[in-house]
Amino acid sequence: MSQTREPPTLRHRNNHLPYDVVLNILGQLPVKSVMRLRCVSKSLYSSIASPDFISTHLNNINHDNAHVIHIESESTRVINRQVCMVALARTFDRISEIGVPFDFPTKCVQIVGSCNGLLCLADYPPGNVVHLWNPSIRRFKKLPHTCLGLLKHVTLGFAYCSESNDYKVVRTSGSSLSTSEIEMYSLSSDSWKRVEISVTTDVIFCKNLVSPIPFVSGALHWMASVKEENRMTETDIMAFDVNSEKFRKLALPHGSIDGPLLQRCVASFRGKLAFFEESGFQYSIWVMGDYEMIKQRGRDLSML
Amino acid sequence: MKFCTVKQYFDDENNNNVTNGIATTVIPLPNKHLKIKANNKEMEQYEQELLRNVMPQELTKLILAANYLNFKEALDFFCRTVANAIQNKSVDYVRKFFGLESDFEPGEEEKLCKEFAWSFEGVDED
Repeated sequence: MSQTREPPTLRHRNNHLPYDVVLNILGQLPVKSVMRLRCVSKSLYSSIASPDFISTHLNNINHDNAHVIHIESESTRVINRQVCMVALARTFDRISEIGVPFDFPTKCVQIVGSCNGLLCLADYPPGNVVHLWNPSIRRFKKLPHTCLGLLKHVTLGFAYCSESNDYKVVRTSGSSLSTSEIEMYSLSSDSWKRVEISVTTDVIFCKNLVSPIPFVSGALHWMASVKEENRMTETDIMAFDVNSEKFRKLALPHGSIDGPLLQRCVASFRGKLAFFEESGFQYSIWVMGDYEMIKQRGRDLSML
Repeated sequence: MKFCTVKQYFDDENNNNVTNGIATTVIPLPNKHLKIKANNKEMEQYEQELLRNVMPQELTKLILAANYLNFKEALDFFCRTVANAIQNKSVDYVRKFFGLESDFEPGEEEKLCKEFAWSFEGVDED
């Protein structure tokens, strides 16, 4: 016996969206709205604070907006507060000024690096005082004191560790004449710890002119003067893998000139490691082709 | 195959989840996508046109349909549209909109609001 069937209707039992759809919507909101909506409920608060939500939200940000940061290295302002300049697109037609919400003992500030919208700033030149700052959510944090002794000829690098979803700051100090000391800070432990290279290798890390220490392919890269046991001192690139927390030595490109009066530095260029050299009237740029090849061959790279 | 549930929808005669009206909006989207696949701007304009006069409440129906049909691109697009519509709305508005209830202890919510007072600047009046 057949029953008369009613035509299908949209049944609005509760007319409310499933929770995962709600999170999908929130994941597409600007940061300011997301921060405000943490006040909706406790469960929403903890959902928003979860690593999954944070990385989804990060991926949803429009990547066409390249943010270039510039900060005056020496403040000439009457008010002793630094200002950070941000270009909101590669066309540089929209520039904003963001006041740095904390102070440094010196008037000079350097940008150590930036990852995922998090900035690392330090006083310059000492490099003793380091802050992490997220301008989007207006939160900052001063790092604890060094675990090394007296700091001298400091270099700093800032990196994101994808394996542990952690942020790390690496500091080298050239207090000794023969070798640098190294320490690493991780945000998850909120503490510094010493890093050793090798008992038989002396490394003096060089300042990278005025450029930040580049973070490429999961590693920070320095120009360094390296002396291994029973070998002559040579200039190499020292790469620190922030996941394995180990150093690796990379040779300078073929064709680069060894000499004390040269201006040289390493940088990140379109996501690859680049090496710049100025000798007299000639400027040269090398870009590393295949980073993986270096691990196998121990040498590199193609000339631009 | 963009969504597998479509076949099920047509087979399932007792389906109350998706009205015909909603289906006519959502189902042609993949074909249109294919036709103007290379040109993102055109697709954006087509989608803006489609949803120009749709209120946020109406969008929930579209979202439920896209969710049921397992059509990820449409779901993301509708969610993005809702996000744009509610981005300046107050906490209360959003609570009612999603049917969520506050489970904070008294005073807890106030403390949070004070901590992030800057995020409440420029919020639309209810």
